[in-house]
Amino acid sequence: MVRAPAPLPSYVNGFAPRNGPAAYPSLWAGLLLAWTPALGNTGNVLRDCGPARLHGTGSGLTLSSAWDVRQGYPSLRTDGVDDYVVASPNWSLDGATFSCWFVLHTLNTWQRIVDGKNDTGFWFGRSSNTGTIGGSFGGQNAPHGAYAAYTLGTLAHYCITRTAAGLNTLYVNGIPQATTYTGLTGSRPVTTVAAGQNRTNSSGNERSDCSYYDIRLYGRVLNQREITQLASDPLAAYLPAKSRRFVSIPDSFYPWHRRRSGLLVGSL
Amino acid sequence: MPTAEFRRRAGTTITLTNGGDFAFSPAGLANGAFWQSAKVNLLDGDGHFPQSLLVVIRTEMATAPAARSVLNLWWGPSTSSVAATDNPANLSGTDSSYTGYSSDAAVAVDQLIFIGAFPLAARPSGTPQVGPVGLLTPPTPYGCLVLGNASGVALHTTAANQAVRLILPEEIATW
Repeated sequence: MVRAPAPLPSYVNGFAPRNGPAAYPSLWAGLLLAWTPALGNTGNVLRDCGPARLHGTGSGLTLSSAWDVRQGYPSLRTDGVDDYVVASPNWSLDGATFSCWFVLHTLNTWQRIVDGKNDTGFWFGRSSNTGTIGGSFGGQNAPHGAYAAYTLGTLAHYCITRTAAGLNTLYVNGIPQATTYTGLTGSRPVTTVAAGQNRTNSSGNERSDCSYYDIRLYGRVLNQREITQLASDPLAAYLPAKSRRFVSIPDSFYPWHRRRSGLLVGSL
Repeated sequence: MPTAEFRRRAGTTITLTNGGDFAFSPAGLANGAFWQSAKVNLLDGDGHFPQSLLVVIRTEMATAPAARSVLNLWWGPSTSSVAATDNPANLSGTDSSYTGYSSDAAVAVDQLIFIGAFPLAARPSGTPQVGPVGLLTPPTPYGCLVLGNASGVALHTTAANQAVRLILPEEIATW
């Protein structure tokens, strides 16, 4: 039996939700980028389901092995050697939120999992030889960001919020972990965003062997409730609200109903 | 306008192909190119159109593509049955090559409804490939299908093996 592919909700395409509203509609507010490999294979182009349609272009990907199903979801894996996906936005980030569902397969010294113009914009990855993963917006000067422990090979959701005043907060699986003020405050320009490597310095130790499920960037600070929703499922933003279904059942299916109607008519 | 009626029964199918219910002839479409169908009428005899449609593609490639390279499908909704009226993204409503507004089809398709991507197996010509691409929830009774070839190779020139079927996956209950 061929199972029909899951539908893309109509709000992904900017249309009225004829097939029902999103379960968490606020996850579509202020959205700058939504790369979601967990929706399925889209070849060498990582489709942006956000309003900007900022599709990422793959480089070095071997499609037959890069697209895979792990942890029950489709995913895109960069090999840590020469694979990456890149796009060219024109963002100036003030209050902002970065969110990523991923599985990291190996540690690399200065690896970048997702990078938005090195240190002056935002970055997410690893800054030292410890097993911690983190990142920040505007982390040019020490401290570079907020970090938390990560166990290789586990599916995890990491999220970083950044207020306009420059306070970065790291959440792991929806739970706040650490906060830090980074060196650069004010609007952060981002003109390149990449998954799999650092676009400004793509030396080998900055590549990532990583499976991606959902990468999102917002031009606003998400609240705890929204971060908890994102952390509930890699496809949380795409889940439709439960809706009532109406069916038409003929009266003849319910003999008691017909009898009762008859009594009612008779009593009149 | 063809006279095909879309009866509301599970499994009811509209076929888009050369000589089908609605014309769609992308045979030989080059890698990186786009093709649009004739205007499709989804209305049934009672003036209803379906809430969802399963979109199934049948294709044959000219040569073996890279495994898991894809063909993309979009839907351009329209409120008019007239080919050239009320079309998004400069669709013509006729079975023809699609170039967007002005040689910018790759950007213009982002103004349409993305149905899904069909991952290909690395099969040479002579092996048609068939599978579901996505579930379409059409917002209007009319529309055009657009196919984008991102496979790295051309589609085969056999017209009969280039088709898209729109299938009603379930009964629509009314009262």
